[in-house]
Amino acid sequence: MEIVPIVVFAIASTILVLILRDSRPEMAVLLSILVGAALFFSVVSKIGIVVTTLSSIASKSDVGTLHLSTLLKIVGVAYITEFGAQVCRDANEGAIANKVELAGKVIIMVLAVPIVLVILDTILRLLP
Amino acid sequence: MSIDYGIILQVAALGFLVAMLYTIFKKNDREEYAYVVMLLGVMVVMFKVINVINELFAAIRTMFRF
Repeated sequence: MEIVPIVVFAIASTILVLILRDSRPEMAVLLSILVGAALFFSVVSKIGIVVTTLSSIASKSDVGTLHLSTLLKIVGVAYITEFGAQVCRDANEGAIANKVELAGKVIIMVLAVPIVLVILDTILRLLP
Repeated sequence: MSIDYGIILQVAALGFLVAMLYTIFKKNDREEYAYVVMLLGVMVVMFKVINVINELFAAIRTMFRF
């Protein structure tokens, strides 16, 4: 039942942001950033538990822990990109939001290049 | 790795205060004071928000093993 205070907090903050939005939209954007950060901080410890469990499972199995850290970095980049893009879109700046998403996609592609190379290498080694 | 939830009420109160002062100054024909108050409010709030965003991205960094 820990979701209930989180949802109530989110709804109350949405109403505050709505009050600010038509008179002072820049304050509304800043307040929505703060509320998003507060909501993330309320669940960050649980994400930590999941990440630690995944790391322990990966270290026990044969899968390289190198790839797991790259995967986690990609998830982190995706989260930050989505956060920034949605804040821009809420402020009616769709163009800036799209550029933020483009930057996130490019960075994720660059991060994924070593994994793709390893996959191609493995496949090429399997072929006669 | 947590923030002080009071900062949200502080920023909301500052937002309302700036909105009120902006409207009051505009009604009294002092648009320049209105803009100064708005810029000051945005600067103060942005200072607080940048601190919180710093903590947020530090937490994301440690969480996802950057």
